[in-house]
Amino acid sequence: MNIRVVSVLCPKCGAGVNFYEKDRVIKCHHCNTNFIPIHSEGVERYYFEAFVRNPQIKVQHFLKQKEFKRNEYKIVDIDHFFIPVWKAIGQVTGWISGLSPRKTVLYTEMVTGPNGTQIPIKRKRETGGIPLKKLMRMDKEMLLNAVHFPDLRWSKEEVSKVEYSSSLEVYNEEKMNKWGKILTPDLSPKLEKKQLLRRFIKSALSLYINYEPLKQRLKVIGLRVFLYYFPVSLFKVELNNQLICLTVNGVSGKVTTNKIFKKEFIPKRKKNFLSDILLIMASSFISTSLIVTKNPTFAQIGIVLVIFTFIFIIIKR
Amino acid sequence: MKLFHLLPLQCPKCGSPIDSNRNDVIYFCNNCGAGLEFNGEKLELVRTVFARPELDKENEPQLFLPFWLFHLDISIKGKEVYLPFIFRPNFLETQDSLLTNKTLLEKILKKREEQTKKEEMDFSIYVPSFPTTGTFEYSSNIGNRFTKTRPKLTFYEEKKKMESCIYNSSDALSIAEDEYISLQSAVIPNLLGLELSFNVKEKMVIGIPYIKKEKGIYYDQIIGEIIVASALKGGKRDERGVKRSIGETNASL
Repeated sequence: MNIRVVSVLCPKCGAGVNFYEKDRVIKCHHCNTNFIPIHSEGVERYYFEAFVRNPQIKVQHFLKQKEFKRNEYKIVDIDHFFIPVWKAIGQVTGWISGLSPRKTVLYTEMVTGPNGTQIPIKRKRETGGIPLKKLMRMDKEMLLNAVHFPDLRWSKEEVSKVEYSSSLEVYNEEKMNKWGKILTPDLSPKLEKKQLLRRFIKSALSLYINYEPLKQRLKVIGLRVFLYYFPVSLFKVELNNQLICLTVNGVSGKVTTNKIFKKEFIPKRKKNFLSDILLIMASSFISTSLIVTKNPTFAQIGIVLVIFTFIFIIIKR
Repeated sequence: MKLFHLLPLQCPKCGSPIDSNRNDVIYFCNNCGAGLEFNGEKLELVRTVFARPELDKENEPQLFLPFWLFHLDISIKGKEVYLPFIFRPNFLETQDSLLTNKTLLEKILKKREEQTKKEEMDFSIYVPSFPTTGTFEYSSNIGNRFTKTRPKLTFYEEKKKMESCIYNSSDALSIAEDEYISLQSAVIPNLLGLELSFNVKEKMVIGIPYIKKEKGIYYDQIIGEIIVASALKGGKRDERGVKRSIGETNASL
């Protein structure tokens, strides 16, 4: 959906101009000038502004929820990154031709015998080989991680979320560097574009991969390549004698971890059972002491104490 | 290095500011009628003409829808081919194929001799380039019909208002290749197996005149093909910001 709005300043009059992310022409309503957005190397670069100012608090809160006390873990390292993600949209168009895959199918045919009985006979049949000739036209959209970063637990689909629309900005190295490091994509835009085109065509042909001989003249039209930079904070935490990586989403503040971990503790039920036994023993001892005094008032207090102790344990459980 | 900047949309021919829709890739100057395409570095002029009506001449066109027109040299494995004339009107029967009709090759060769090379080289493909809604199949045969008909066009001297154009020349050329294969593959079954190359001799944007025939239906004043008004995506917004189709906009005028 084309609903994410980006703000820039009009180079002519300096007024704020809002435009939809996918617009090819931008209009300044203040000076009534139309502009074409020019992106270097044909790659439309945007970044998401980090709203989470103190990600450390998010990590501490996350660990507290997992029942870890402040003295049970140690934050070893903190890094703030803008992680790049490629997005490409376009339309695959062109002709394909081929023959559907040939298969030998076994089937049973019932034949009437000389004395009128039905006899099953197994036969073979060739299927497939149906000629296909098709003009293909399909819209495609693809998201790809621009860097390989195994420590990060974060999904590339985050860059497509509409709810992050308010933090979308045009790439600005100066502003971005104030928050964190900008990671460079593993491949240059030129190489990545070639890869994306190949992937688009491969994905369009995926249904016909077994067609033989498959001939195609597919091209990608209306290709637009986006490079999104998403803010994430990477925390390395020493916990239970092992190093754990925690990733904080710089826009939503959500914390994710690369390992499933939980605090080791004595089962609560067992602990409660022991305390209940002790309570019953203490209560029984006091009640017995009160009853043996042969004073009716003390005896009554002893009986009430026993009853109260049992009621307390039942309610507690 | 500056990775993003805004280029003012200004006609390099007459200097006037250009008003354009947000999805356009070809921009038409309202002052001098020039067509412009951004080539990655600067705005480049594209030859733009507006065709005069051939049908219903007494009525002024209500719309000019953009079509790319390519004059092409087509070659197979580096050898120039003169195939276009075989799909000229009434030349081939629809069931004709080189595999089934043994005399077809002779027929083609004979016809080939009749044609002058110059005429054959004048081979053009029309590609419709206006935005449409889902109700209109884009690869509908409007482009093919224009290509097959090969209309003799005359053009207006003065500039007219062109509707949005959503394909740049390279994308339109890709569609033109598909159209060529669509037209030829009935005659040459193995066309996809051949190394075809398309060289552009000339390209231009032609505004094809359209007029409203009856409520909700437009037809072109060149070959008389109809198009449903609701299928045309205007890309314009009314005062409430609601996007409306060309048909709706015109109906309200």
